[in-house]
Amino acid sequence: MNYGMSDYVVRTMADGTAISTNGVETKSASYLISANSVVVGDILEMFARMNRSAGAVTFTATIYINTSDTLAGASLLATYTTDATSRSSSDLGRFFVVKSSTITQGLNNTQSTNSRYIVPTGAFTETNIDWTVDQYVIIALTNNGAGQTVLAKGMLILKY
Amino acid sequence: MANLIKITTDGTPLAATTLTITTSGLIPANSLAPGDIFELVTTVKKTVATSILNTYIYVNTSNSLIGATQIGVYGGIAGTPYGYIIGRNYVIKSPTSTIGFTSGNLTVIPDTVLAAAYGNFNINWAVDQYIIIAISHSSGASNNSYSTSLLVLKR
Repeated sequence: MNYGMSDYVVRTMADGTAISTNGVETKSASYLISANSVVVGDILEMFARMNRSAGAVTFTATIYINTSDTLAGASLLATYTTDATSRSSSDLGRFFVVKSSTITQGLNNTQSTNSRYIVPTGAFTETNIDWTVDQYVIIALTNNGAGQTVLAKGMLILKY
Repeated sequence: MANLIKITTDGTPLAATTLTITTSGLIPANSLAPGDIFELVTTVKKTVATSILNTYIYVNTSNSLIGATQIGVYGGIAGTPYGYIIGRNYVIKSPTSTIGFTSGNLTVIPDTVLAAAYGNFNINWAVDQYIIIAISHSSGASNNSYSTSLLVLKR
């Protein structure tokens, strides 16, 4: 239901798969957005949460979207590399504006930041996402060193 | 939460360098009252790297910059940031007091630490009020800057 208010498109706090390999981007969790849950004119606010359960090196979180639950062929939405080895957890937030049936606009997708509000380097990224079909939002994680385990801790996507 | 304003169409592009309204939205009378908190999020973009894009947030009882009250600003950045997202939170303390960051506080972030006291704005929410996004930039007619969205949420 949406009475002109925010609605949850995704709200899952289940842990994802723990990733212990080094230097390999690997899917930790994925979340289905059912066809037609998002339409032109919507604004989405996304929060992804990641945690390092062991180790002491930086990690990179990347958020993708795809029509199948796989990284192959997925479109990059956002990325963040922790800026210090002391960062054992991280939230990553973004806004997306569904401008048209072929343009979903967000912060530059290669900008490494966890913040929804930042002055980026580069233009807004306009991704062609067909919201009339099922879409999977995927959290992929990369350990930037050996001896570490990271995992997704949940995803919240609000629709306005 | 309720969407008081949600605009996802591009605003009017600015070709000159004069401060100009790019987009605006109406908050009907009595949609907000003392005790309410509202959040504003707007996205703006530019097309020329060397241009310095400034974005101003106003409130007015008419859809005009004349007599409008400035409640937020960001700008002064040239170079490759071709756009940014500005957030602000406002608390309606009384019929004559709506507080938020100072009108001149240059930040895009709604939850930062201020170097000054909060701004205190006298806004009568019992009448129609327009939220206005106005922009200026340093380049001339070859440059187009505009808002790409405006969202005002009542918390």
